[in-house]
Amino acid sequence: MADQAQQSDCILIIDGDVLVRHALADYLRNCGYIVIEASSTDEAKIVLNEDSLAVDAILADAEAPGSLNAFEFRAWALRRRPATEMALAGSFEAAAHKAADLCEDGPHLGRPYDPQSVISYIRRMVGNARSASIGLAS
Amino acid sequence: MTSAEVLPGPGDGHIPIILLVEDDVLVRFTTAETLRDEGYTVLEAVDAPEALALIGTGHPLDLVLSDVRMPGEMDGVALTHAIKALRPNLPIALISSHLDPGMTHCGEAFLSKPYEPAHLLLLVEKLVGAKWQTRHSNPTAS
Repeated sequence: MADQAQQSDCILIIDGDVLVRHALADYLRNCGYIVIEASSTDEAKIVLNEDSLAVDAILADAEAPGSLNAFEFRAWALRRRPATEMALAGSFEAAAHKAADLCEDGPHLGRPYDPQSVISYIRRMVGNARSASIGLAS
Repeated sequence: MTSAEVLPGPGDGHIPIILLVEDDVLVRFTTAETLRDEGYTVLEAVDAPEALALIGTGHPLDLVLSDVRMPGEMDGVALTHAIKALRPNLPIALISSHLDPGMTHCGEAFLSKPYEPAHLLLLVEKLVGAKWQTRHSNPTAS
């Protein structure tokens, strides 16, 4: 695992919403990154404390859950991994655009598709999931 | 194609999609990458609510791999029952370090921790292969 992660650029995504996290991770994988998905800043700390995992960049929801808020986590991460870049996104639209920028800057395949497609995909998934939960509740 | 013929593996035509439910971030990442290295598409969920949220989107899935012990109100066994109510034909394999023979009855398979990656891949191949076979022999099955 560690050897593999060190061979490719690795992005750590932190987002408490699985639908957003999945869409962003899928997009970044399609442009060639290895992606580690964390649902909270607590999970992200576990990842960054694992020295065998090389993390090149972090993309975090500004409202990510966890015992540290996103800003406290950024300060912690900068101390723990000073060379790792970190971007905070205030909305999934902003996160999709930051993911596209990461693809643009990455050494791999470039943008797999327009970030607007990621945003539309997330909206569709959220809509479907809401319909399903309403159906289950009724 | 007859039922005896071998269906295409990962990378040939349909790429099987696996939902992995595991609350340990390092185990989840390692397991998911092991499966991705074999060509599978993997969706990751931390717990049962996340798994049900992903399933609720209608995302196509070929297999669910779930840890048994998870935080929250639903463990892997309860999640299996919930998934079976939504998608009765979706195969589910439970993974746990605590072997309970009763658990094998609620999913299609059980994998005991710790396991070798080769054992995981064998199990997945067996379950996804069976699913492909079912789908191909009855294309209208969901």
